[in-house]
Amino acid sequence: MTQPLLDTMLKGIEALRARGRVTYGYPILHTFDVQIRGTSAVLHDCQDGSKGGQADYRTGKHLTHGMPGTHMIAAFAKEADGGWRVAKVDQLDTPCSPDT
Amino acid sequence: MLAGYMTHLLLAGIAVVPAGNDHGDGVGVSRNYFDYLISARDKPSRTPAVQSKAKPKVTCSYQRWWYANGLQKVGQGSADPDRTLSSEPVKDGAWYLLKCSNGSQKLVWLDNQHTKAAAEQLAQQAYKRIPITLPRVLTAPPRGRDALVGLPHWFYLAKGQWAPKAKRLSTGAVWAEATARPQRMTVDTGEGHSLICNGPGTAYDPARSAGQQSSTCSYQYQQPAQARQVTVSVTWGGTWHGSGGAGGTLPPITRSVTFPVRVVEAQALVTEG
Repeated sequence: MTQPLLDTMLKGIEALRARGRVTYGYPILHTFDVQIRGTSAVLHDCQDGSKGGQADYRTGKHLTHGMPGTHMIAAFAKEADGGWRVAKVDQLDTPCSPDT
Repeated sequence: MLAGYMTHLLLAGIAVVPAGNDHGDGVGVSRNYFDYLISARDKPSRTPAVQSKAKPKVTCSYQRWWYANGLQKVGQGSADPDRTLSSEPVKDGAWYLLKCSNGSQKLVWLDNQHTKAAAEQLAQQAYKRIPITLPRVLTAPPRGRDALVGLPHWFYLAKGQWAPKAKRLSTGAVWAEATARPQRMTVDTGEGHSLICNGPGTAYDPARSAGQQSSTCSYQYQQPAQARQVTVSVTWGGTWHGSGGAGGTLPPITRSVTFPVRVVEAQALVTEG
């Protein structure tokens, strides 16, 4: 991960902890439509977020969960060391289907 | 290889703060600035309440979402990609998030060369639509009154006439703004001389004496004449800027008015009076 997403995510974690929450699980990724332009790239991900969410830090109780068919778009920057890092992520309003 | 990186990084990036519907109340996630990353939101049905037989017009908006080749990075920091970037130059092109009124959304790449060419065309259209009217010319002595041989005859534009005008047009993700700026006023005196005035002239103030005022655009007629045909022209220069940092100049526009001025000898007026 790289800027500007990195700062956003770190602040997000901090805010989450301040509310006594942590994350659990992982989204199941279904990436598609990768486009590369020079040192920049975008991809789509029709992810299933239902297996992850927020949990209470003390009790471990699951408080939230994601949804299947969540259409994410991610921008990547190729950095000086040659690594591709996520720089921006957004969710589109329209749900997607991992089969299409 | 890239896909592998992406999968791993995306996983890492998104798994940090998952969010979703609270189990307890089923209401959508909180709206803080990171939950959107993997949020799951309750959405109202997109089915319109009233079905119309006429095919609805679909309108789309473009928002620059990400652009290429590292220009988004600024030194050690980085620019906020969500701020308005429309005026900033980009190297090759950018990805735009296309949102349409029928609910469809997608990322589209727009190459700068095409964007610039389209922007220039838009700028030319915008320039033509700028309402540049004929100059409203005032004189001292006032229009309809005689000019006097040997005394300065003032030419000036009405208030507000010497001001830039702009027109902005956009289509899809491409936009252009053309601006017309008055550059000079030329006065053909009708007596074989021309004045070039780099401004709108000086408005004559009848509340003050003539001796206390001076004009930046005046002419002293040499000979009496029944009707000198005076032509006042205002030339406007054009510039434009638009998508992808494109910009340039546009051809000048000149607007002219012609009116008669009778020139008399001052002593004749005295004689007649």
